[in-house]
Amino acid sequence: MNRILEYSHVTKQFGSLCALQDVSLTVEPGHIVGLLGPNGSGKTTLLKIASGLLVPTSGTVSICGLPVGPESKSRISYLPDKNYLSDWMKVSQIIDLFHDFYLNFDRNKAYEMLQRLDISPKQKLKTLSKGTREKVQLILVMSRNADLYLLDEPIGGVDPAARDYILQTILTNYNEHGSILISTHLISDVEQVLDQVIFLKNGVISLQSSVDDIRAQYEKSVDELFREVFQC
Amino acid sequence: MLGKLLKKDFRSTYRFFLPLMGGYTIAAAVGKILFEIVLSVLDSAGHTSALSEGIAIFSVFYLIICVIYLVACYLMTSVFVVYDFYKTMVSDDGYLTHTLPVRTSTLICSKTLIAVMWQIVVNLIISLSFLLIFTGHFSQLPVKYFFKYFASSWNMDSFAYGIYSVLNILVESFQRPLLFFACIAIGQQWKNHRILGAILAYIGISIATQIINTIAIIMTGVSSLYQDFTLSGYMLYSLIFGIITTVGFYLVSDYMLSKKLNLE
Repeated sequence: MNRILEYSHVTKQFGSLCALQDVSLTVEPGHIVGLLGPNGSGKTTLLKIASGLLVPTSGTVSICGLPVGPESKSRISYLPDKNYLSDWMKVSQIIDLFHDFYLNFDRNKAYEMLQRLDISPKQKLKTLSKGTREKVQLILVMSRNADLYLLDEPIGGVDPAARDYILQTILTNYNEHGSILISTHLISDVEQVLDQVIFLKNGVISLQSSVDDIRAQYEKSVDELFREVFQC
Repeated sequence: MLGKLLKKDFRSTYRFFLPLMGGYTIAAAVGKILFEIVLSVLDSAGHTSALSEGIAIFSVFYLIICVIYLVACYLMTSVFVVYDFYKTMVSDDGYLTHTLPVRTSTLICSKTLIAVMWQIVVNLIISLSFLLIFTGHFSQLPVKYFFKYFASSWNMDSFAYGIYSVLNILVESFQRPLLFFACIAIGQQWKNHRILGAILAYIGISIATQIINTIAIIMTGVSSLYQDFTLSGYMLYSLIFGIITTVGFYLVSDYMLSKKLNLE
């Protein structure tokens, strides 16, 4: 199993808008990859296609050599950029649900993280603040021993103090044999954890490189290069 | 996985149905008491007091409200089924539903079976409420006369009619939610006006189904316009047509949600 994630000539159109254009990329095992680009560059679309929430107009996506389907979904742990849990449920009920459906879900790990964050499993989601709900979602996603973690703006909606905790949670809880694809435009916050970066501009990959190569070749940080490439 | 999905879908729907049907059960029990009061007031005609007349009038109004509640139960059953499907399949909650490691066909099967189960529960509770209201008065109802009249006027055994009716109700219990699911699945193709899209799909499918139904009735000769019309023939036709459309709605839902899913 050499490639955890592979996009081959993927194009996605919404009516006349081309969200992704002939995108081809691969993610190897054990890497943390930053999917970077300004708003509307196609980051979320790219992740949704691998998760099975959108069907590409053309091209193919494979996860661990499998086409998008129930088998690939059991290997992917996806964190969307919105609240996708039913408000009426208690935190403990959601944990039960994840335990029911995902064989690689570690219930003990989830309860440990909840306890560390002082979130009661008996609380209903509708009583939690937006930031706490996002933390619960992250706990659920990171409590799975998945082959691939797709994280869409995991630090987008939380305060700077919580960002460090979230990044720490991601780093200490992911399956080390798997890979992480993080979509964000808050580059300076995530730069230190990334192995590779992919720059996405208007649905096209403009750069795919390791962080070390960027620093060596451009003598700049990823954040500085990003600001240069995507200068308005 | 179907069992796990059924458990999940049951949990997400019972919180709507339990209060609805619990309320109806209590209303039916109170209705039975008032029904008996009305009968006793009618029996003692000529010795009525202002109080008993007042109770009788109140009881009649109450029974009318019960009937409205009964109709509302049927309507709300569909509303709850549609709401749950829309929320968990094509709105934000769909992000979780469609990333579960299950096939789209299994998701639709689970939603359909839960919808059928609730329709059966609602039908059973409403039927039992009628049994409760008429308990003790069956001898006064013209049941035997009805069956005799029915058999002679429709040239059909009432037992066979019962069997066909139950089968038709069962098929309709699958057909109705699957029609709604197909419309929502088509409506999610719209970027901004998904509910409007679903409504337009509903109107379009309803018109198309009616046209096909009319043509099929004429072609098969089961219309009451024909001299050799039989009720059993018509009911058999309805059953077959219902099964075909149900399968069609299922296939449309499955295709749109697996090949054309568009959770923007």
